[in-house]
Amino acid sequence: MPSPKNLSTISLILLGVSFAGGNLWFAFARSTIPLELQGLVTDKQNLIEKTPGVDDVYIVTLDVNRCIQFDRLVFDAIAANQTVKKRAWMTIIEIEGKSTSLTCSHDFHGMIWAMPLTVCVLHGMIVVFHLR
Amino acid sequence: MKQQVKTNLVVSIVPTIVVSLLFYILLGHRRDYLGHYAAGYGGTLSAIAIVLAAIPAIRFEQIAPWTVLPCTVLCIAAGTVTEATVFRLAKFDEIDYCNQNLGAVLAGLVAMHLANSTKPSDVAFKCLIAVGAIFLLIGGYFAVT
Repeated sequence: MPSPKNLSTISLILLGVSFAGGNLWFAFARSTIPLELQGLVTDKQNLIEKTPGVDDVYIVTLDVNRCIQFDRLVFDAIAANQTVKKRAWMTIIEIEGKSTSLTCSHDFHGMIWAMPLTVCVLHGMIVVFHLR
Repeated sequence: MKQQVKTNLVVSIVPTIVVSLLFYILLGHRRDYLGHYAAGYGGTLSAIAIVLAAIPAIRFEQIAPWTVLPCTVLCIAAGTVTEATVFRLAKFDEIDYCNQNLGAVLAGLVAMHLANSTKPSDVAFKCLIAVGAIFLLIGGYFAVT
């Protein structure tokens, strides 16, 4: 039977990897690149968070009652009452029939380095603690 | 005892400083990410240190390793509630949530190391609680500025 220490340590590492993966996914999804979109934009909102201009939240509502958080780049390219069409995992979005290229945000570019390195630190801690 | 306090301080500070620097260097344009991470770390470390300090020395080695994971999960649950209520300004931010939980997980791993030996002294626990409180304050500062 595994010791409580090993069980807890493995569970914590799995949790850490899940949250690091979650960070990567949510940052990537806000570029809309992995998402499939089709519909009429019924509303777009720029919601203020704790630091206006830095951590603002950009929400777009489609007519299928789907609210999605976008990166600012995509949010600025879209206006209300426009139709959007996009296939999942493509870097092109069609807005009113016109194609626009999509790129990942600074957040995602930072996350893609920070999260694997954070997971390495978590694993490194286990190795160092185990050797002590 | 001094050596034990010093070791616990190194264990509780060095790994989180490394991760904080990663956040600061690679995600410096979003200081709130670092803030959420540091607050999650500090809050969880203090909470677990308080619980571990309450365990009798004679039963510490049997009970402590079983205590850390549930405490970490409870702290994550408490963070979920606060992020969904008092800190829900625009919406429930999934990235803020993941960052604060990464901090909680790192605190849990630090606590696992402490829980796997004889009970540290009261001074060592007080230092850990203080370190946690300092990171919580630093996290609060970065999260809102």
